[in-house]
Amino acid sequence: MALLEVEHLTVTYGNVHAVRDVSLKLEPGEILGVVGESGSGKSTLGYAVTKLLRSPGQISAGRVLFEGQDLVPMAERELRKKRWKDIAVVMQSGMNALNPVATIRRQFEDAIMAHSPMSQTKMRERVAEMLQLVNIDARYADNYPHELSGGMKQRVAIALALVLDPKLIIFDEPTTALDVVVQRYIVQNLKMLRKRYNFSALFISHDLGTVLEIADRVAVMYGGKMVEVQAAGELLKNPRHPYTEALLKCFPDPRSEQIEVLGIPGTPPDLADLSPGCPFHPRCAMAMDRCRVETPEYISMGEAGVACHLAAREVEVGQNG
Amino acid sequence: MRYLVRRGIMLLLTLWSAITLNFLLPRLMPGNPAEVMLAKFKGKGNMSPQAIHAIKVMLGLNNESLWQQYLQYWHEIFHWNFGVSYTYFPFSVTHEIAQALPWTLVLIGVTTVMSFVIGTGLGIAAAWKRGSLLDSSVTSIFTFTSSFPYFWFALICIFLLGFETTVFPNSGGFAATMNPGFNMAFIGSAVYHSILPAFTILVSSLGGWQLQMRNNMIAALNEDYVVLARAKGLPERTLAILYAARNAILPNMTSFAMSLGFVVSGAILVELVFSYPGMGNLLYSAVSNEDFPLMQGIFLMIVVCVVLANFAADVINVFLDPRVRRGGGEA
Repeated sequence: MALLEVEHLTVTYGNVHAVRDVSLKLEPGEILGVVGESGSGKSTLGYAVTKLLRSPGQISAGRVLFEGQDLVPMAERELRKKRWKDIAVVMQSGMNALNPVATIRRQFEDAIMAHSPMSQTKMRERVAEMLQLVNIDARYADNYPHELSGGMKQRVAIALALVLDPKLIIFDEPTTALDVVVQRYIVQNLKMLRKRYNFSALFISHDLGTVLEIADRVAVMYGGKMVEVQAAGELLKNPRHPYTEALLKCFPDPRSEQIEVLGIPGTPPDLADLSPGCPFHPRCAMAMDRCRVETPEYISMGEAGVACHLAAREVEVGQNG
Repeated sequence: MRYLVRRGIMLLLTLWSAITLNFLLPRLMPGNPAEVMLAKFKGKGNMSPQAIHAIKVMLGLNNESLWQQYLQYWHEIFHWNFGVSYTYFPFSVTHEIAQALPWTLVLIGVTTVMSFVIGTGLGIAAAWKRGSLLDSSVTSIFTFTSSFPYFWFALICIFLLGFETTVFPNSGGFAATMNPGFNMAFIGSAVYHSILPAFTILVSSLGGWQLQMRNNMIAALNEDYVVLARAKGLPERTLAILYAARNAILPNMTSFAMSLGFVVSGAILVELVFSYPGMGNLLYSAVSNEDFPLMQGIFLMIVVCVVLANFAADVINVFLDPRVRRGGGEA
């Protein structure tokens, strides 16, 4: 059974449809990267899966099955038992994700006490152990968040997510506000931790490079829709959706002779606009007449999938020929 | 610690400059306040030079240099001597203040604390249950009451509860038939007299605290760390108190500590409307009678208390906010 199964999830903020009819599946131990530009709905997807949407955001349709149990209708009291123990969250940059008036230790301890209380001595050991995992000296446990650097805070946030050994971790832009060196360090650290703890993760980021490095599969979102899912290596070599292709061109290959970075002209779509058609068609170099009037279906092909009229045609040809 | 020492030095400097200004201002005003007083007496008929001299000596109006006066002023302050009140002659300013201060401290002090505690509590509750019946009723009632002109509401209360129906006395701090003393009957009478003023103060000041706290708390509830705390599955109580309210209350604590400083000045309108024997009334009579020594004495007290309250606000911040405590990090 899949650890997490999202089925036809739609999330609205008033009349803005931030996530539209998104389905995905996450196997135990798998890391699924979610990429997309600002406003593509990737963070909203992460918060919807954990039912942490800020008002007025709400799940208006769909199911979120965690180990086969639907979290959407579940009462907060029931859900609270699963929080952190089963599903943990690492928020963007950790900067503001730690309570400024509590010590680091306190923030580990209240999570432990809420779910699996243990003795003070054991708790001290656990906190020290967790901090060492992310290469932070245990003496920082008694410091306040503002006394740590941005990179350290982010690592604390990761250690905090791991403290109860959860099955699923939602990473929401965990490396975004950090400089490249620290980003790289954190990604390496995460890879090590993953081997050791074997958690599943939804790794949300706008940085395709980072996502390709850490994720097993990558989901590409555009205008609140899932436009393509593929294994990371495949996606890099053989993108099916024109948007993915364009996105890959935004990252130059440093080994190539001529480095040319291509942007994607135009702006992301208005999420309040629900008129039919592919959301990407105004910016798509390969748009056909059909793209303007008919919303492409998401065609699932096992682990992968794509929502594009053009790609669908190619898939068909590939299967028949 | 270093932060507190720095604050302490700032406190002393502020006190010094406030007291110096308090000394200088009346002396920089055109005319001599004491001469105004003499002129008044003269208006009632010719005064003998001896009488004029006597009054000058009594008021301390000799022809010393400003510098000497300044030193003298400090000397007297340290001896708790603020001179003699013109209005309540022969009582000293210290005596008058000592008479009025307890009334104000109890009435305004207690209502300020109550207003803060209740208002903040309701603000937390309203923000936590945002959009609930509690939130919408409490918040709209307070938005309404906090816009009352205070004296208007006090007059209405007096009219309805003190005049039309004599449920409560309509003026004074205690029954006129009683002598102030530390006995049950007197305290009972004082409490009975304070209910209406206290009620009107509470009604008009609660809203401010409630609305401010509600706003802060709603902002705090949207902070990442509160969302993360929710993700951690912490008990509701921990989430509301330790994460949201604990952070939201910081700016409110500062304004609370500062408002405590203004307690000594009394609520002039309250005390006037209710003829309450407190500092507000005393200040009003000092101003309307051009009683300069009394005014100066009261102003000095207010200034000192406000400055001390500011210092207290800093100290409270040090205890509540670690970012201030270690005096560094992200400034």
